[in-house]
Amino acid sequence: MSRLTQPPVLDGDDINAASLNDRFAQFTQSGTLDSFNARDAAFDLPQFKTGAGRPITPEMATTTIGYNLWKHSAYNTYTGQSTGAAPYVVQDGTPATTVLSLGAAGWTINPDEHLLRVYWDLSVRPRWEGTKPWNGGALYFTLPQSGGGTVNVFSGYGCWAFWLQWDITSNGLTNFVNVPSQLDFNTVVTGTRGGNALSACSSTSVVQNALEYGDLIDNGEFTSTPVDTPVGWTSVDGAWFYAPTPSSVTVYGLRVVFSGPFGAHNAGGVNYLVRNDSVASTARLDTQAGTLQAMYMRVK
Amino acid sequence: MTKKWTQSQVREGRSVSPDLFNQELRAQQSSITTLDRTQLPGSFVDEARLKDYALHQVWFDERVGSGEQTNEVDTGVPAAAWESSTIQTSRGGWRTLVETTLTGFKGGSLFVEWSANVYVNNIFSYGRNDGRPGTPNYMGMRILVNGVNIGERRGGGYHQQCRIFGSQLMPPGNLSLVLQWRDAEQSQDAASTTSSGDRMPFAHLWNNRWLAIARYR
Repeated sequence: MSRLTQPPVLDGDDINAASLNDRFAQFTQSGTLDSFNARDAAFDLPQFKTGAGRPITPEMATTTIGYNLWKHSAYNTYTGQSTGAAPYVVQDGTPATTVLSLGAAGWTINPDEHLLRVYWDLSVRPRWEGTKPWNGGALYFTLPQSGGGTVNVFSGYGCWAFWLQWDITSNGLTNFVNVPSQLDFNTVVTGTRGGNALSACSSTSVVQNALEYGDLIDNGEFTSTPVDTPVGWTSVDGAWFYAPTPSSVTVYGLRVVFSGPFGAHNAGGVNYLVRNDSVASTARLDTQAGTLQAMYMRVK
Repeated sequence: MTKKWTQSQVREGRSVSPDLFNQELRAQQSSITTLDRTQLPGSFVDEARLKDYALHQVWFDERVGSGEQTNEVDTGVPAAAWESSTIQTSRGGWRTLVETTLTGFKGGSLFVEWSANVYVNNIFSYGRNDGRPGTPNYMGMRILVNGVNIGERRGGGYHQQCRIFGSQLMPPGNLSLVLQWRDAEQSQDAASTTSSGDRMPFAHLWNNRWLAIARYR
């Protein structure tokens, strides 16, 4: 609380009105309640600043993304993409892209001070056209069949991938780029197929795009045709956070983008999420609505 | 606020001694140090008026290593798969992905969240010999703080994003944070290799990140 920065009056000190008034004036506080006065935890909730500049989470924002019609009676449908394609952006019913604007001034995230946290979800339905089209891609395992022969079974890696882009140029929101440590799956990994090492998928979330399993497997051998089950409407969500280093970054907007179909690949000790161009034209993704939320908080 | 003399006001021509003034100053100091939180104005606690770690503290790892679990990495899998956990490498039980210390915890509420993409192989869930409904696989995930389980979920059963979180009141002092995963044991009917002899991948976690927030009061 209040402090005296001058020593007490001692014998032999020159005592006059000016020096005494100076000392006395130290007690006349002009409303300076600073971090010294504000001791650890000495507050009640009404004393916390509200609105912009809050002490723990200075800013928060949320928006609905996608086609906001929860009956699922109408939705957007997207066809699979091949290497080189720009990802789809989550769209509303217009369809127009849906983004989260962080205001004209954006949010400035400082190193060793702030943490940007982004959470999102989206209602989706992955599906395929045709019969087991994934067998035309690198999306299956070949397994032994009872009585001889083999059977191809969806490996479970097949998926659509969703990731985050941000605009750190202006609130015009026309300069979206992938967030740090997130690439666009267009670097050729094997043959002509593009993909990312898993370490270059910092904001990626996936949703499996087929379900296939064996019925009455007998000691590792298939005894019947693999069973397919539609994935149906499901959800995909993401949780991403970012602490800038070594410089501050001002973020003006965020959006969720997606592409597919992807599968697994490994080479040289590196695991990749790669495109499956040969079957892309038969993959479909229906999308509905979700939310995209962001906040930045102080870390100390 | 302007303070008033309370002990003996300075007047012209009065004799004074050091104690006279010290008495007054002490009295005023005492008065001011009784200014408590109920007297503080509303909405005055902002960033500038807070000491670091006064109210809260955050620890995080945006990406645990490369983001992937490295507890079990089998290189004998097919090319169209990930080097990951197989029947041949599986140790079973809980595997520790993260073990770290939350330094400087002052006592209060602790929130921890952990998110990842998980891959779980469910091709062999319905075996002839293990009986229906079979042995569906899941990716169990749990959060331990000082050895106390504050969040555990059965987790994903496919190739999908998962996030678990938990919170707990904890005593002051450095805290031990441990994140662990455990895939369901495989069916006795599960194939351990493909027909060409490559090892069958069963479980993997990638894009792992965690965040811990302490709230002090």
